[in-house]
Amino acid sequence: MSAEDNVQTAKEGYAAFGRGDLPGILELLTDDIEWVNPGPPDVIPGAGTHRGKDAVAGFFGTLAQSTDFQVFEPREFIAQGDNVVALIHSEATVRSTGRKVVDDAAHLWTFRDGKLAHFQVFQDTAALVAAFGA
Amino acid sequence: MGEQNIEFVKGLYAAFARGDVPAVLGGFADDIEWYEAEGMPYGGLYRGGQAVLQNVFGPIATDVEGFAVTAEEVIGSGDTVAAVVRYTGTGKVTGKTLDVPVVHVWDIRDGKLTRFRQFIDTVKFAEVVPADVSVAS
Repeated sequence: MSAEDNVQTAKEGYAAFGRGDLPGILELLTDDIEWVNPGPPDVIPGAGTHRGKDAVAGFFGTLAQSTDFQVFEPREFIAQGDNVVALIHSEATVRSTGRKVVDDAAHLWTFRDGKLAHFQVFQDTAALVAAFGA
Repeated sequence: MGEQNIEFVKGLYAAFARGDVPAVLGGFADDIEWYEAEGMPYGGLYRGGQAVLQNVFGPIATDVEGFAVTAEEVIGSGDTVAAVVRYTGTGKVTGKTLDVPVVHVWDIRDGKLTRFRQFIDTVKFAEVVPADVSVAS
């Protein structure tokens, strides 16, 4: 698979997320997907490392319960070989606190044979803690 | 162009690793825009190499003993290059070990870096360098 193919797959993943199509996301993943969200799990719901499709499905359930996205825009894709870095701008409301989070994050997608094998989020977790924290 | 830019960025990480700050600054465009994550003790937007030196490189080298940036992956095929790096060292005040993965995104024009954007788990960095003990505070 070329870097362009991998970018296309990443775009399909974000489009599936945008329409709430969880099966459409899961079919892009390897069975042994490793999905890493940064931050303290006791404050930020879904933070931590999730292994396997069931765990990733669980993460998306947690995300939907905790966070209401008003804006979720993949704005740039940087790709080479098996790696894609996507830059995401999002604006959301934390359901438990009502606080707004405006976030710019980098997502690293690492592919194996055309499927997503490792996904990792890099973001300013201090802003998330401020939004989710007591 | 893409390969050339990747080699250029790798060369600047190598220069930083051997402490050759003039070589790093020499790779910056005069009007480089440096976006340090807001949640860092050094958070903010700085313009120009001297501002980056004073507000980021200087304080972080004081706050983190043996501060090192290791580039694990450098990715790109055009004028924007992403580097997956690791920050390591020891917090001077806390004595805690720093080991945090970071994404740097570099924009390159005419063989110089014009923009830097940093994506980092700022909570993890703050465990090693809390904002109120940083020399930047």
